[in-house]
Amino acid sequence: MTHFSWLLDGSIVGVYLLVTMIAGIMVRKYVGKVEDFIVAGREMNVYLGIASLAATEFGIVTAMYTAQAGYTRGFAGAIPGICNAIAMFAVGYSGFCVTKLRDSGAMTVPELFEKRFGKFVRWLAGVVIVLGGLLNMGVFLRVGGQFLVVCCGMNLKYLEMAMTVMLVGVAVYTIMGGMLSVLVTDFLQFVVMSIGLLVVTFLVLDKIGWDTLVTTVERNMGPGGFNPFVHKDLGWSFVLSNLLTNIACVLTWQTCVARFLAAKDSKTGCKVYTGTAFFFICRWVIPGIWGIAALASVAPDTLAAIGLQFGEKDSSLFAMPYLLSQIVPAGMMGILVAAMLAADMSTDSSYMLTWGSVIYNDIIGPFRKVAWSDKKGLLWNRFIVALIGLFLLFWGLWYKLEGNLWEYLQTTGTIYLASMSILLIACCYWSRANNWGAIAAIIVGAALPVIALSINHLIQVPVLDAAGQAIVRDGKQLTEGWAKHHIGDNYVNIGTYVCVAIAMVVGSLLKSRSERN
Amino acid sequence: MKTIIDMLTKHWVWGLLTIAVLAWYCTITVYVSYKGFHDIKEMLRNLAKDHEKKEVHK
Repeated sequence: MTHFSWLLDGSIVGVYLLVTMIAGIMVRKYVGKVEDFIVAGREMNVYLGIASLAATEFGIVTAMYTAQAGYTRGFAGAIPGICNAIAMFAVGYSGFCVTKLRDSGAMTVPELFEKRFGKFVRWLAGVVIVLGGLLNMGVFLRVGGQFLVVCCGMNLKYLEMAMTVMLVGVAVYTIMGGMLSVLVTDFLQFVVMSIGLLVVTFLVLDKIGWDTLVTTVERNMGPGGFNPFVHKDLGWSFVLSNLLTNIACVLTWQTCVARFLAAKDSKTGCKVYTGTAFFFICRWVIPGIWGIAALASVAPDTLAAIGLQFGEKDSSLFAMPYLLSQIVPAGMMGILVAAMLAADMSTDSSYMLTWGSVIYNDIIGPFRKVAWSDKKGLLWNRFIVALIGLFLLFWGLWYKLEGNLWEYLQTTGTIYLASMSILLIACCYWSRANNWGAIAAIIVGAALPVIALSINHLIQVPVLDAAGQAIVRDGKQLTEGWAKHHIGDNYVNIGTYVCVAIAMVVGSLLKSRSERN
Repeated sequence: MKTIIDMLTKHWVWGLLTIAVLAWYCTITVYVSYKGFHDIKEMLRNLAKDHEKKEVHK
């Protein structure tokens, strides 16, 4: 039984949604050209950038996987957030790569690559960015819907309808106002989201207490729940893998870098990065605490029943929304759901827009023989955003997630993060880098994670307990993918970065040598 | 008050980080919201000016 009151809380959520939609649609009149649509006419200033980036990078999906990390790994689960904050602050402070990217006048990362590596590399980079990005964001909608079902006690049969309505709403203002609508609605969502996060965290600390949280982690995970280096499933490979992923994210993740490119100048962009860095710790610590609180107070059987309801193998994802449905009172529930919807809408709109801009600018762009008028360009951008919305809807409806959500996001992201970050660094700082190296790096960077995902899907091995016996749950033997079992997701991730760097160097040197000969 | 003392005595690194996170949200978020609102106004004003210039050129 949840405390969500459809009259009181539903009204709060309804008013919030209405205000957001109106604000998002109202700014459409300021969109006159493609640059306004993709990078807000490069008029974004520091504080709007910080609010927008913080809102975009926190969706329901973020709350779900960070809470899952807290539930399964304790406080040590928040390490990716610390790595992210360090990476963002360091890049923002030094201007490493991003300053050169912004100063080049490019609207996307692949556009910069064309200047150095040619048209084909720009197109290929666009393809892997879109492939990795779409696979990544494909799970957002379903996870968001699951949160609402568990937290509000909504009937499961309305899940698809609720998801569709929300996505259509987001798509409408994103299609009309592009980055301008995204920035303005992100700002509103940042305010609502912050209030919701604070209120719920104080409530959790008050009801569960710090002492219980600490004791729960000690009892379930031992010292590994506080220190990732001594955690049996984490260790140095987890920390290194997350550091690499987060540096690459800060440099090339479309939603991050789009904010940098929308900034007035590179100095403003750097300030946005340094100012947002600490929010990345917040986005892991706050839901992480909710996850630990769920571990302390929700019975595993209850979670297993919820997991069965959704047909998901891993029920740890539902611990946090179930806890919130039990402890957040009516009235406050409306604020929580509005905050979570705010978080989700800002994420969805920004993802649709920024990946759409890569399709327009870098996949279709190189085939344009003559420059398109702004009217035609805007029409195409809007059409692409609508298509991504449709993809999100259908992929989100049928894809079933197996295992840890964060690892899925990390692996699908690596399809392009590894190659794009190495390409960007080489493009900015290595004079001998050329298109051979770039093409080799992109192919290796996309192939390795896809091979690992495919092997995991096709070859399953039994999960063994400490005594070496196969674990059986509900009459079925527990299995996991071969690559995950024998190599591990973190080593696949680290290995991909190493192989991509080698491919870049070897490919570039081979071309230099062949040209000399 | 008991919770804060607990946070500073039991696993104080995570306790301190949690306090910092909550303090950050209570203060910096308010500041960013206030300044961000002015940034939106300025951004829309500049874009409107830009459009007016474009219309004059036409």
